[in-house]
Amino acid sequence: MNWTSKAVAASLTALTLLASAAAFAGPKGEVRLLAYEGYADPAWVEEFEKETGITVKVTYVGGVDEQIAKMKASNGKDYDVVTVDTASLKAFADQKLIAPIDKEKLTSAKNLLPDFQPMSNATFGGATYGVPWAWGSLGMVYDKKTFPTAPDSWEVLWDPRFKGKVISLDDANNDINFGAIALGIKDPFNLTDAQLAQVKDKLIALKKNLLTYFAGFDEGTTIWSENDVVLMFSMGELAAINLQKKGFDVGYVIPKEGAVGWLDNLTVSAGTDNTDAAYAWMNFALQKKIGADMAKKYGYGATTDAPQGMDYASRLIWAQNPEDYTRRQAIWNEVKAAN
Amino acid sequence: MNPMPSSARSGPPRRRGIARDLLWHGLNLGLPLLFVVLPILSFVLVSFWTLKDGQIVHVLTLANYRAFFTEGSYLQVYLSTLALSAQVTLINVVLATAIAVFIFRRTPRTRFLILMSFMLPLFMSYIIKIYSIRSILGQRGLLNEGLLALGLIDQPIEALLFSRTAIFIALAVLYLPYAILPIYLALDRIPANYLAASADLGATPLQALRDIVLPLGRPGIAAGAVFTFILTFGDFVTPQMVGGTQGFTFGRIVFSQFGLALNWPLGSALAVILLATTLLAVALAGLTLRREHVR
Repeated sequence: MNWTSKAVAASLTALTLLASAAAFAGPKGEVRLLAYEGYADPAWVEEFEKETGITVKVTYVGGVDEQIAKMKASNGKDYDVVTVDTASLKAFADQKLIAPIDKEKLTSAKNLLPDFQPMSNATFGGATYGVPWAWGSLGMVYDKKTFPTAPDSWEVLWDPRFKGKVISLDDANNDINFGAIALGIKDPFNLTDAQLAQVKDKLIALKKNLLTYFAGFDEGTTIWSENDVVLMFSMGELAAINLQKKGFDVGYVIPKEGAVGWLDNLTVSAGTDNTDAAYAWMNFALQKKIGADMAKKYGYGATTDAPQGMDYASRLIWAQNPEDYTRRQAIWNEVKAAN
Repeated sequence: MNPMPSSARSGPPRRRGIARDLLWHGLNLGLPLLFVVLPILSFVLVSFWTLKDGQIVHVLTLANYRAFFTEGSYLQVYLSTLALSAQVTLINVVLATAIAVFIFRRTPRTRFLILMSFMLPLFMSYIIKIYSIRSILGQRGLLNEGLLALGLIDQPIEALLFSRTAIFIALAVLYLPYAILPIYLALDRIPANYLAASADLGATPLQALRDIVLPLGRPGIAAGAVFTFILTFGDFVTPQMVGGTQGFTFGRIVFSQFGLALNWPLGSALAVILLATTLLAVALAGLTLRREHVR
């Protein structure tokens, strides 16, 4: 065999491989998802592929910045269905990275729980850009032995009786949201100078009652289990779920002042050339049984099936981008430096 | 079977030598320049830019440095971190010197074993060590549970973890090996006959330690001090994880400018101040050594 015939053989092999890869994409084509962890469980993907003959390709992202970068790189041509959080929806729509939802094709919209039916968070300029899909909150975790009935107000975290038994999430933006909500400020995302000063004082006052701050779900649970903690301003439902798994008798509550909620939406990429596949996935994902499975496996709230105990969606204040991240970081640093 | 003489291919030997020298010098200077000096200069440059409406503006200004001195609590946190690092450095130099002298006094065969056992923690991940310290000092931690079981206390000691003391203990434990190693290495270079001679001349072991071992170990002690200081001053993880509400240090402020705040110019300016402080520490250590040589 001389070199020419070797090259021919190599290219033939390569071509065969390419052809088989293309054949693998299924007769009905492919749906390409840009999603967060937990939004495309292997079991659902398998069921969907069997049901529809459409192949699923998932790209996971860790945050909004990464997501925008990936979408902008090809003006959305690389993806069909994108999960976008409510706070970023407008930016995606303004940059024409996502297309308005065609409600005719969204046959499973009827599965949405009443709280999510209006899709008002995702509607601007007369068009709806996203379908609510998964949600969670930044609520309070409490020790059930200390509190036989759930505390009804955030104020309990400031109660000197629990000095040194309270822990709080360490996150500039969310802590300022939390301080504003505890003060009863209606719009915690657009604070005036006077309100920011008030929030700063409120958070410094809380500091005196804290055992420590924590970052991340794992750290919160570890500190709780190694110390005598009875209250936590938490990162979410998962904090309580993890503690319960470890055998701690804790509850999760959204106090009367409310709490920040996050809501991720399913959206259709503006660059998709396979709209049918995109809607097929969305209709599949918005089934009650998929929602219930997601809540069970990942602790996210589903928009189609109310998970046990997660009856507070209507009391959440859905997250929006704040007036000024840099400013909030500076104020948070002041709080952390205060004595 | 090459018919051409080798000199015809590569030029006369002399010129080849010059070319090789140039290449060597180029590499010697160029690599550090490219990989160390330029990146540092680039963040020095960024520190003179500023932020306007969330965007970095490429206009040279001293605003970030002015902010350090006048705004918020940057200066206050800087000073308290400086004090903390100085304290940790002091205690670690004392401990490490004692340990190094202890190892130095053993027979050559056991020296290596003891030294290695002190270096062992360096083979473990930093985060694992912090988590271990935390599970020892916690209210339901090893120490409290042990004391409770022994009946020495009847209530868990709360102040062990999540306090300034905890930061102090954790930093000292984490960075002790970095001080032991250079001090021991300096002692190891002291010729054995110096000590033999001093003993022959009637010096007590304490005199030998004071007049021979410690003075000759000074370069190592200075290096150990500098290592400890630099590592503690820049550490932004340990204080946060064990210090509770007191865990806010200068490194943490620098770190916080690079997240959602995206204030790279201010972050860079604070990092330049951090770098200048550590360089100052190195210079100070160098100065004490130089005086030693002259004498």
